[in-house]
Amino acid sequence: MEELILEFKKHLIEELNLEDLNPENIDNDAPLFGEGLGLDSIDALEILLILERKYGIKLRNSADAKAIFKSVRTIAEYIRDNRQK
Amino acid sequence: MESRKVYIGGYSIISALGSTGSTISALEEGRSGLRKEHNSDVCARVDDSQFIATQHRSRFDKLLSSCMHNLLDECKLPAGTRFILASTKGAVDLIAGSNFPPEAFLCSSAERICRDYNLAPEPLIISNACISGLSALITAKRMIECGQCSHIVVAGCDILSDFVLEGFKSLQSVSSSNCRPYDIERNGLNLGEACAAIFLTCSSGAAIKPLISIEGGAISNDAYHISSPSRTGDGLAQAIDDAIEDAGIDKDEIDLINAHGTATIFNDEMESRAFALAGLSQKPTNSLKPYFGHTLGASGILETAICVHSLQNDIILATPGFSLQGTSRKLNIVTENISRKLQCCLKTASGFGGCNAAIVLCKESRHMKTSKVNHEIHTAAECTMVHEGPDFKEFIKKEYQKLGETNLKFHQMSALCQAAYVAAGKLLSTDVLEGIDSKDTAIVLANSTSTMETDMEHQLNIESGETNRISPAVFVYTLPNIAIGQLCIKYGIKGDNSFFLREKNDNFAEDYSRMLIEQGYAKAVICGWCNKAGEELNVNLKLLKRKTE
Repeated sequence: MEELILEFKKHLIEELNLEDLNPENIDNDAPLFGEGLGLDSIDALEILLILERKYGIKLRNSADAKAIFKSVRTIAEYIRDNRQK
Repeated sequence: MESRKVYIGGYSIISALGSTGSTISALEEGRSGLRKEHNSDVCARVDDSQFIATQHRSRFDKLLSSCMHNLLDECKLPAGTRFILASTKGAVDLIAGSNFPPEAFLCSSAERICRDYNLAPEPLIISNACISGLSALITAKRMIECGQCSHIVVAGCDILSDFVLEGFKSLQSVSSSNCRPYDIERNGLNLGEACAAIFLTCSSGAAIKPLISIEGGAISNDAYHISSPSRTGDGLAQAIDDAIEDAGIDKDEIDLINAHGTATIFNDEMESRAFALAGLSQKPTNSLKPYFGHTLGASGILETAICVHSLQNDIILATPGFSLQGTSRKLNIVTENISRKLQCCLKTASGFGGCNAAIVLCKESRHMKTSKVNHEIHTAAECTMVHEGPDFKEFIKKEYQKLGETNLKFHQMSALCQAAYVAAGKLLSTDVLEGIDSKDTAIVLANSTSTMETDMEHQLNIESGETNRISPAVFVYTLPNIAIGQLCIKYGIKGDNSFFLREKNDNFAEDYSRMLIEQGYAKAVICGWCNKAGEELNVNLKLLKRKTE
């Protein structure tokens, strides 16, 4: 699990151009949006694309995404349970 | 001295519903130009039979030229008539992969029109996302009112393209059925293509009868997010209040509101809050998007032309697709055409980059406005940034680090936006804006190549053939005014904002900004040139301020 979390963080930094951040700067359990890391609605759409490209997960319902996108850990758990590649 | 009136001298339309007459009949009969296409997208596409014979390669030029041809059948343009073009993406159909041909630039399309139709040279292009059309009308109104010119043709045009359609799909804003503005079941917008041109004149003799004039106009910024509308509606409410004040009328005099009404969840909700804040929730309100889709840069002018028709014929058009209110604030959405004496109409629009615009149109207005005082101006700061070579990324990163700030979003910005961001950071490094209200600060930027580099990046993403490669974060930066939006967010600026395109750096942005201060539309303006094309970067920004006694 820790390995998957680290891998996902690297994708996040790379694909969202979060150049000033290292994986260790991102708290596994802190909120990704708003007051936590500070990502926004466009970043959320980009995360959907990461899930699709890297893990073959198609998540088109934004209502589901809200619960899954709470933190890096909740996303990693979702990837673990649903990955197609 | 009395300020000059700005009359509608005539207009022409080409939409998915046909030319001017056919479009208006369709609207009155409640017919829509939206169609489900073979790939199951619902769009409003112009029929090629509307095009006159031209040599143009781009669909954009064909549409624009045909609409201008029709306008000249409607009205006689005096010699020296100026031209303002409103568009988000222009001849975007000519961009293929990393090939960006010279005729794909908006400046080049506008110049061809000036040559072909004997309009004054040096056209102005306004690329302000979805408020482009209203921005162009407001800019033209100000230019005529202050006596810079007497006659202007303002045209708005945008075409359907994979570029734009795939971009909006990547933002998940597109509905797969006919859009339903303000309805509880609304789930997104439909894109449309159209061109509309309005001839504006200070001469009542050259105007259509009964006389319709643009009495008020204002632009604001949410300073909230580059693609999400404000959660409170305060930006749009401010533009509405300012436009009504500019018109010198009372709110009670407004008979109808033609709103933006794209039918996305967030836009319509924001508008409902803005109309409530402005105290206009009870006014009969409609959205015309269900008839000819969201026509982007054309929409402000196309829908204003329809408002002119409504005022002339005393008819308020219905909003198809609306049945049950789906916004948190109550609105009075018109569901059946209403015949009623009309005097004043409010038209609004909001767009990416956080921009909002509102205009007030009045019939047979006898209200006289005194021209505004000439405030004096001084240049409070200036910043020039020039760079050439393949190492832009390293260059701008170094300059950014000198600002000594950390903004998570900086590395997500396009090169053009980064350049504007860093230059503005230097310009405002001291407290030069202190004491000036956020709504009294304006931003006016200009360049010649718009967002050429980001356009090619987005086009390559589309050509990869994989939907999951089409990045919404890249697409939003294909609008040049996103750079203005980022500055507004950073510095909490909520005043007037426009992105102009000009063939070359001729100080137009600065001259226009001086007029904004002179006429009292702003107390401070960040203005100037910001162009990034290939390996060349050219930025020159100034902060102009009203002299205080």
